[in-house]
Amino acid sequence: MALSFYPGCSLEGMANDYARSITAVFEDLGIDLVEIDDWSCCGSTAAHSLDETMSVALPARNLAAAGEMGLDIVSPCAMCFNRLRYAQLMLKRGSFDIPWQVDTGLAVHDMTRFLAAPDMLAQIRKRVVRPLANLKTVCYYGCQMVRPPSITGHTDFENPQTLDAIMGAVGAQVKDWSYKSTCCGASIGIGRREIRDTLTNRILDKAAHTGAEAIVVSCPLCQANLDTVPRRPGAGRLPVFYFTELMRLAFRPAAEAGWFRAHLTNPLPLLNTKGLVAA
Amino acid sequence: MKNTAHPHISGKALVVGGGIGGIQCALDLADTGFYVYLLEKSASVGGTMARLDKTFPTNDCSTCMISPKLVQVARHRNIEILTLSRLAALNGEPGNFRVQIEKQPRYVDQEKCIACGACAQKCPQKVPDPFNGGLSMRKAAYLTFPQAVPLKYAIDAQNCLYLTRGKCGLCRRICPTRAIAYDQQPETLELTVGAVVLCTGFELALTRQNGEYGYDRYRNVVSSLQYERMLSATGPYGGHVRRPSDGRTPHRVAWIQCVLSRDPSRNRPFCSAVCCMHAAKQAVLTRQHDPDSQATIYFMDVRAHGKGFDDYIERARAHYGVHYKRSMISQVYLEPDSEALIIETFDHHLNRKVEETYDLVVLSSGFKPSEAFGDLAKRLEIDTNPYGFALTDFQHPVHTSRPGVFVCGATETPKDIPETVIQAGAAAAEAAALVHPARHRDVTSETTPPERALDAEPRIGVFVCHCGSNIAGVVDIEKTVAYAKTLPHVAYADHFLFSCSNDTLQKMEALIRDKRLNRIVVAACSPRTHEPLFQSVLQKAGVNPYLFELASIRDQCS
Amino acid sequence: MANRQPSGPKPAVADQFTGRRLIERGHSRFLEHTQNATGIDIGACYQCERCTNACPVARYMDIKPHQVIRYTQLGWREALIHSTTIWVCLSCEMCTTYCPNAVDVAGLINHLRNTAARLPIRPAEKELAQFHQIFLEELRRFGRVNELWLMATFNRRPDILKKKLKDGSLKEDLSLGFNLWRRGRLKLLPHRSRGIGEIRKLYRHRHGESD
Repeated sequence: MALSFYPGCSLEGMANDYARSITAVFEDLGIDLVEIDDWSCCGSTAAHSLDETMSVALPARNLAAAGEMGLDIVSPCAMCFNRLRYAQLMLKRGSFDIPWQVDTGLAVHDMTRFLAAPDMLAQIRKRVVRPLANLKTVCYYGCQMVRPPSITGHTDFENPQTLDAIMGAVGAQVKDWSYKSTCCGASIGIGRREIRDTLTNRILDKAAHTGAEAIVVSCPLCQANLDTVPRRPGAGRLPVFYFTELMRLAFRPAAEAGWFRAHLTNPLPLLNTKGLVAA
Repeated sequence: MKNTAHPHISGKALVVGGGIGGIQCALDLADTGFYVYLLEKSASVGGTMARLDKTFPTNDCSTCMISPKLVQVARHRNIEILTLSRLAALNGEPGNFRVQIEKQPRYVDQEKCIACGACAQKCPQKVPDPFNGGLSMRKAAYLTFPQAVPLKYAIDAQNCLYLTRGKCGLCRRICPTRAIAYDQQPETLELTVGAVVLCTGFELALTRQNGEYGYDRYRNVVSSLQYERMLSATGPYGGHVRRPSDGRTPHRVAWIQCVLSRDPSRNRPFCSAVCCMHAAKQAVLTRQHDPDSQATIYFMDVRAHGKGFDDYIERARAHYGVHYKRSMISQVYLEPDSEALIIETFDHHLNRKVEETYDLVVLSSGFKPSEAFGDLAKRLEIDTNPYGFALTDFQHPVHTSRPGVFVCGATETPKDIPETVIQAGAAAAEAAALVHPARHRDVTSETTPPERALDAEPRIGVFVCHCGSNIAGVVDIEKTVAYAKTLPHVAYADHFLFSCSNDTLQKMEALIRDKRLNRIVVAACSPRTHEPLFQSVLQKAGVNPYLFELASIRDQCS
Repeated sequence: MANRQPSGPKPAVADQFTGRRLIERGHSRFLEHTQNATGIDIGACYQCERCTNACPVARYMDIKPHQVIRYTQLGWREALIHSTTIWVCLSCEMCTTYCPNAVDVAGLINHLRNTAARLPIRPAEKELAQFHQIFLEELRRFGRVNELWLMATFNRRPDILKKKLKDGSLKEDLSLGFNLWRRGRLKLLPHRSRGIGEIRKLYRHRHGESD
């Protein structure tokens, strides 16, 4: 099986550890991820905020490239996924003055949804050599992966299950909670710090209140916010894993502490006590 | 003299659905000279009204309102109740329809069953009780509710160990009248009727699948009907409101209105007509049950459009202290430690979100036509509107698109009990108009036994009613009966669990005859609703029906 | 209190919460134009406030989401394009998703943001608007956006730099940046797309510049 891969800008920078874990996991699953040649930025929030046509054109360039490859796209970044789907939808509905020819029939997969399909889950379970010792987790989906359902296809936007299913398949304990898709603030912290601080800290508080030991995410911006937001003095904080990091931990016999060095909130103490990574 | 003209027109009618609409329609038709087949898909008639605690705007006990009618329908010589049945096919033309009924087996011989309950007691298989919205369990051998009509047990074929796996069989061994019949088969009946009335009622649009506001995700989020069962004395918690998670009394209860109503985004743009009122009713009852409780209703508009309804809402607000908050909730959040629910609203005065915590949240769900109706409408080729309700037109509000087939109640559009009863009367009148040449032809008349001559000496019979726990919970029934026996001229005294139920009335009739009683006192609920019922028993036993008194000990004592 | 009062002279009759002029002569075709441009059925709203209840940042907005719909219906365009609302909105899409009438509230707010961006007015939240601008500029430079370069360019803007020096947040930014770099999360050299030419051509086309 082969898919075209649209990493998104953050996987080269802030989320490059996410990128490495994705490579490892897909290698273990035997799925060929072919990076879209010379892919460019989807435009993220800035494009749609300032210019509707740009917000369609920028993702369209990548849709066109994937179309040339003839492979469905899988996207690890929730925002890129949302923007690619949005552009596709807009192009299906009407024409835009853009220089790229797009095949609107191409499937754009959110990575978690792709891996949570029943046959994929079965394969994931087969690959587990180190079940995650019932690590108590809550899964945090953020906004862009699930809303609005007309674009994302996630009709269970209030209680999505993809990350929960994948984490269950690798032996983690997943707790239900009501804040799965409550906004973390995204990029507003750059201009209005206190908004991001309030929203992100609330999520950390609510997650801790469930008794979870770690938060599992798939969105790079959510990970950045949850991992780096200043906390009140004395308040604990949970480590925040990309779901593929935990999958790799479950798949590969030789776990390396160095896999987690990018985290600002150090997850090693927790992983040590669980016997998942040697001290 | 028998009416023999128009032999091709049948003097019989088919009423599909045994809720209050179907019952009223059947009674109207039968009382005016037509034989009625009353079809019901479940094991007992009664419908949703039998599941309610009280009815607005009078806060009358729902079962008390419906039980006289249940008894009338049970005892009516011109109404034939067919339970566990569905209408499979309808052919022919108005005045002369050939109907095909599919009857599922009850696995209990109705002639032999005395409703002693031994089968249910011994049955090892427990399943969530749909009558109580899954909040309690019932056995695979069950009686739908205590005043069921027919008052006969049934076996749930999908959960019975014997019928699914050939194991157990305890009920057959224990039944004192050998009424268990595992070998019963489905039957098909071919009937001829002149007119058909569809009153299959409604279900809540809220299902486990659509998961609104945490329904079926958070234990302390319940539907309006589930809460209604909690309030009922015959409900899962004996009339006490409890949180499903820990069984404790909730002190803060919230209602969320317009769940799956007025919601075009879910293709349900219409209003369900009764939720504003039933939420107010439930909130008032909650405040009455527990004066320390806090009841809050989150709404968009209050639609109190019937007689006395606006006063009811005002009383709820002013007198009972129900809080009304005009704010549509987007999401309900769980507080994991206590399993309480958090509701967020934006407070414009404080300019921020405020969180309110509730022990229990009730979702006032919109209505949809009952599941079976969609199928039925297709089979009968009846037009429905985009939301599945029977399509009628303004000038013919009880006619369906098929001649000779009428409709009433929530099948046509969501409505409350009084409007259902009115419409049932209308449907009965239209059906009667269709087959009027055959009036009185297919019915048999009630023969009233001649009144016995009055004995010189009064022989009084006293019957004290438990009324479930409504009277027995406060009054010492045994002592009352013993006391009655000491009174002059009392020849016999006894007590019953529910005097209004059909089997009790039959017992009463037999006792009056056997003990030669010529004056009757029933100590029970209210003569307003039940006097005619007991008077008809006296009549059947040959006693002057006015030699009857109903001592209203429920109102006055308990 | 994070709510900001709108700029301008105090009106004679004012809304008690926002201080906005209540009797404002609305633009009579504004609703029609907006509905045509966006395809959103703005008239379908029945003011249930579900969107405002769902919004995570309503308290930071001067015009709340349900009010944005109402203002649009009334043609109060000036208030909307000068609001903090259109910049503070996170596009989290809670409002659109939960609206019982399927009104695309987030879509409307985004459209108003687009409109304001094209007009020669000072955005009510200058830094938030600037950030989007700078993001697109970085995209135009390299084809992909490099976080380090993005933040550096943003912080080097004179007004932003001055502000950050004054309130001490520049130190925090640098400290965080250092930590991130230490942990290998910052890519020092940006990647330049081979197709940067066609991307820049797109920009020129959108800005009405000739090739």
